[in-house]
Amino acid sequence: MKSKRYTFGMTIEDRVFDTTNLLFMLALIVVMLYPFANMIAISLNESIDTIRGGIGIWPREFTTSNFRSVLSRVEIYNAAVISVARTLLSTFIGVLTSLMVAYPLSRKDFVLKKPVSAMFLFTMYVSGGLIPGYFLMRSLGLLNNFWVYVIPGMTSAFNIMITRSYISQLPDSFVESAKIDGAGEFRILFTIIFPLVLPVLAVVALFIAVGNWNSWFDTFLFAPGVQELSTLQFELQKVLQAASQQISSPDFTRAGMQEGMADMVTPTSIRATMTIVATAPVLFVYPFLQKYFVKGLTLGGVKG
Amino acid sequence: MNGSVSATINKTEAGSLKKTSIFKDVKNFFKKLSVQKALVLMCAPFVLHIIIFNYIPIWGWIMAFQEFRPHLGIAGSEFVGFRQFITLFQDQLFITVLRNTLAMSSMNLVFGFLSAITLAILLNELRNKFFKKLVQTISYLPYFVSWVVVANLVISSLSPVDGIINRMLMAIGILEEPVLFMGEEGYFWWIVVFSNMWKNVGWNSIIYLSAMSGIDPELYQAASIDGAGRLRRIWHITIPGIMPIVSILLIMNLGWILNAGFEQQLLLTNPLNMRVSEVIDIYVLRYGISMGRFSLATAAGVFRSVVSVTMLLSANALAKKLGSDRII
Amino acid sequence: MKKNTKVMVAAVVVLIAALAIWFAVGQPPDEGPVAEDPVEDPVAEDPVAEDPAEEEPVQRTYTMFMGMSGRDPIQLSETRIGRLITEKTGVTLDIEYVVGGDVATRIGTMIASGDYPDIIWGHEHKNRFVEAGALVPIQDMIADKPNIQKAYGDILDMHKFPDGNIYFLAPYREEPDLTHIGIGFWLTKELVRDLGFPEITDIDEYFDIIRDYVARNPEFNGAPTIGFTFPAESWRFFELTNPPNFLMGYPNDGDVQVSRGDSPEDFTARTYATSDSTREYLQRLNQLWNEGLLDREVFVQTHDQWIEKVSSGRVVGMTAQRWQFGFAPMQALEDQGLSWRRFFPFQLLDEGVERGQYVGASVPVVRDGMAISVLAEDPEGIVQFFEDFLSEEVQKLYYWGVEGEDYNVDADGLFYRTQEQRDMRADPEYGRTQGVDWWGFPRTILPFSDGNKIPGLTSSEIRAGYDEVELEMLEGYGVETFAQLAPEAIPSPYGFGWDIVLPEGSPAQLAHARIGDLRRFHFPRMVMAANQAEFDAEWTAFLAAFEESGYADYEAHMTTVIRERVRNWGLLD
Repeated sequence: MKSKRYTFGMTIEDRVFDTTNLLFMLALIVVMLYPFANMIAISLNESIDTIRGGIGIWPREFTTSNFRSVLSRVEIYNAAVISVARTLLSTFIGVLTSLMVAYPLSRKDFVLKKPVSAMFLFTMYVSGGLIPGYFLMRSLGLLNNFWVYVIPGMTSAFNIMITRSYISQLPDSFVESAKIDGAGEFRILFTIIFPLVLPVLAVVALFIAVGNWNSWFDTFLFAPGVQELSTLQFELQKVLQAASQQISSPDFTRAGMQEGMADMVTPTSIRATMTIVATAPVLFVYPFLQKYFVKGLTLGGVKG
Repeated sequence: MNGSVSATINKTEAGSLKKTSIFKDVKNFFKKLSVQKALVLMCAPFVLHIIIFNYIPIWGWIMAFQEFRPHLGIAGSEFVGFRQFITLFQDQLFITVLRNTLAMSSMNLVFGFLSAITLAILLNELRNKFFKKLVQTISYLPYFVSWVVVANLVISSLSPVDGIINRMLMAIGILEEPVLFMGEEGYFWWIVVFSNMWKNVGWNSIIYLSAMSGIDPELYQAASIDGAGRLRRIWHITIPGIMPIVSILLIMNLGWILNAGFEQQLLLTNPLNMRVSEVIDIYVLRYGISMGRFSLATAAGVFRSVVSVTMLLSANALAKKLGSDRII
Repeated sequence: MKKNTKVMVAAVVVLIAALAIWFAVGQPPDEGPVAEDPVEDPVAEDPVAEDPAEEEPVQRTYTMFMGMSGRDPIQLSETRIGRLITEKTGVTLDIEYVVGGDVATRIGTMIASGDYPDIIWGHEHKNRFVEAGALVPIQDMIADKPNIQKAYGDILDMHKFPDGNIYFLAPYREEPDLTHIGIGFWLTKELVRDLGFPEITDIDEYFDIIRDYVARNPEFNGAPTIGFTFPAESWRFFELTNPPNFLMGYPNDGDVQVSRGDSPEDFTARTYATSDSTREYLQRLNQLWNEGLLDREVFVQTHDQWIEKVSSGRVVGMTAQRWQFGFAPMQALEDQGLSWRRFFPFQLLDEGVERGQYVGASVPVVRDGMAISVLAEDPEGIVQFFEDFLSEEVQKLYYWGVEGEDYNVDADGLFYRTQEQRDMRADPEYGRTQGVDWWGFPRTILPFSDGNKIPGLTSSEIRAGYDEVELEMLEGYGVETFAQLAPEAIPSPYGFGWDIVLPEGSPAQLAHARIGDLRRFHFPRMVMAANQAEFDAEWTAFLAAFEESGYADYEAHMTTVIRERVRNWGLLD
């Protein structure tokens, strides 16, 4: 039943619409994909050759030296572990948080609905600034500490609000009948609401995961000197910075082309490689989440 | 006569009624609270969390009313009242920057929403599952490309010498001569909007797709049985189905009206478009933090927060009036 | 399906729990920012001599903050030479770099919280640290250190702050670049050779040469030739605003020109942004623009795109400092067989100006250095580190490397490098991983006791670095090194003006920022003006706005600092 489309037959309108849609999507693919393919080409192209410009979607002088350069730093591996750890932890906690706050706020009869909603909302627009934030982390002992990646970011008003919106759209009957059956709020939340809101939770999980995976500013501010706490993106920034310094260094006053030269990596190449390195894991994980929120791809029946 | 007497009586009664009803309200409140204690328990720890991490640091706002020097600390820095705010508003540059921010923000809002929703709808209508998955994945790839790379791409495709945009426009006859797009003030905001759209539309459409997946398929079936065509089904089912989330997102984004971005503009700005390209965050960095004028930077932040909350509450009130989903 | 989901969820939860436990247990408790473990090693019986190798040095670690953005974030322990230095001095450095974010932000939080490491390299923000009372004066501690006194004795006065204290030792000494001239108006080597190695100082002659060439060669490799260009992206904008200064025969003092005299009071700084020379230079550029000879994207392109152009061989002339295009584009040209399309600089001058000061006198740059913070528990030990670092042994290690690997010693005891060693050195990756001559530690330029000098001042090394194209150029001009083509730099009793730091939030700083904005706004429009009327209108508008900018505050501050330097540095004779 689910896989079949819901019409009896195709009308002309349908056909026109579908064809136009298809063409549009194809154009979209090209526009969205081209720069990315360009990135891949640059990352596989010899650095010095790239700066001449003109690379399309195919490398002109193939080389793996960009990747070798970026991934050869030993620190990257520990940093990757830290990134994975914080991503998993933050995602799990963040989804849980969203659920636990969004549910009460979605209940029209909740006495504290308005004030609590307002309190959470305002956090998105009101901030004490960097210096008070720094002092707070300091007094809480979160500086140079892994938990600074997880604890402060636990509550995201944005995620809570979209989750709440989703929950609000569920028919009241679910909750009511559960209550009649004598279920407590926590049980209702985890056994009834949770399975029904998987689509939005998948999206929230995606947002939190990607945010954590790409972040480096918190490392910069709160744990810049501690190598063991460096994140993947932070390490990549270091690689980029190393290359930027090299390219403009006047120390290298000599001439004559040698073998080693070709391996020198420029910032342009590093950036392209960084993009690939940072995005690839997301591309692997994404399909797993995707099926939760793209219609027709949902696994299993959700209703009843 | 009778009426006024009873009116007086009613007034007195009403007076005492009011007193008792306040008392009753409070009692009711606490009663309800204890009935709903599970719900309160659910969100209480997190309320505590935001008090600690979001509300306590607001003491930093006092810096906006001082001439803050890092080594003197808050306690040691001179108190100057509203001076920083006056400095801000007397600076012509700040006003310009404010205008730029508002312009780009509103344009981004409109186009961002329209494009993301449209894309979500079109993706939703694709039949082939595999193709749908593929296109959707590809559509968000630009989100992961850093602004440095995107800015480079934008600038080179707009090049008057060999940029693809100029070549295309000349080929189809719209232009006779190449135009230095990045050098014209009139084009800048559009360049920002379109590059933003390209970068974010795929990612932004995810939330709408998620909302659409929650729409009851039987609604579509019923509608098509009733003879509704594709477009009508979209108009009457899909769109209303995502309206609640659209409304919420719209309100939240209106609150961010003074956040038009930073890195994007920083990278696309050049001497020829600087009058229209610089935004509040750039101003704060250049004239605030980099010059060690933390107080000025904080004052700008305070101003922004105040405007944001005002916008939020106004948008919320408007939503209430329009009968749409409210956020508070 | 449901069962699988449950299993998956369970697995993820277990994984997360495991990670959480690992991190809760495995992470060290909140470390204070100052992490130092002084471990006392038994001291050898031999008496203390100048070379630290005579006794077992005390092993210690210091934390350090490198306050310069864009530095390669490498640690001493990661490089071969770095480890050797640790061996010799006993010191390991735990360096924190500014990565990804903004330096001012990081320093702001550091100063506000007072969490200083042991050593601070403040760069342009050093004044803020001094103001904050974060640094320890070192003049007393270095008074009895022979190596330091020998290396820095003559310039100690230059290091003094207005409060009379010395806080750090300059890492850049008088090391003129004898190999190349780093700045000027460039033309392709090919063109210079074809013209018979001329000496050009007239700017109109220079532009005429370009005009002539482009007229005869409108294309190169299938793409249009670019007559003239310069970097202009964001902070590189000074490549447009500096040339008028050089054309007038002044050195690079930032945005002012300094008149000199016999006493400190004669030194006065004036801005030149509104000078005739500036207007005329812009006029010439405008002419080029309207003739189609100026890079049409010069004001809108990113630096990467500018590099692309330079690497393509299509550029005939440009004005830039050498490090703007540095190493990679030249390499790219060579790779394409376009070695002759690389560049050669000319020091052009306005009519009537006799001598150019493009290449300023090489003076110690006292803007940088390693300073000791008030939170350092072992300031004496740090000073000892400086002392040990300045020993001959370590200095040789630092500049030349390891004998036998990075350089050899010939029969007369002089150091030299084989071609292979030079090539090794030239590879940036090598420099990075081996750590030869990579950091800005205290250093000396004095010749060593065995008569050897640092490589930069050793002429055999310099000549050996040139390739055939360059040698041909040198022959054409009849000189041994390129540096000989520039007039000898006039010594400066106040160093450079461009490294004078403007106080935070001061009227001078504000004025300077405004001036910068005005030039950024008006100058490109002048260059791109379609006709003379537009040009003049823009200039008039600029002058009017400049009057309101508060430039006098800027000039006053620069003048004050310059006079102070002249007074204190005692270089005036």
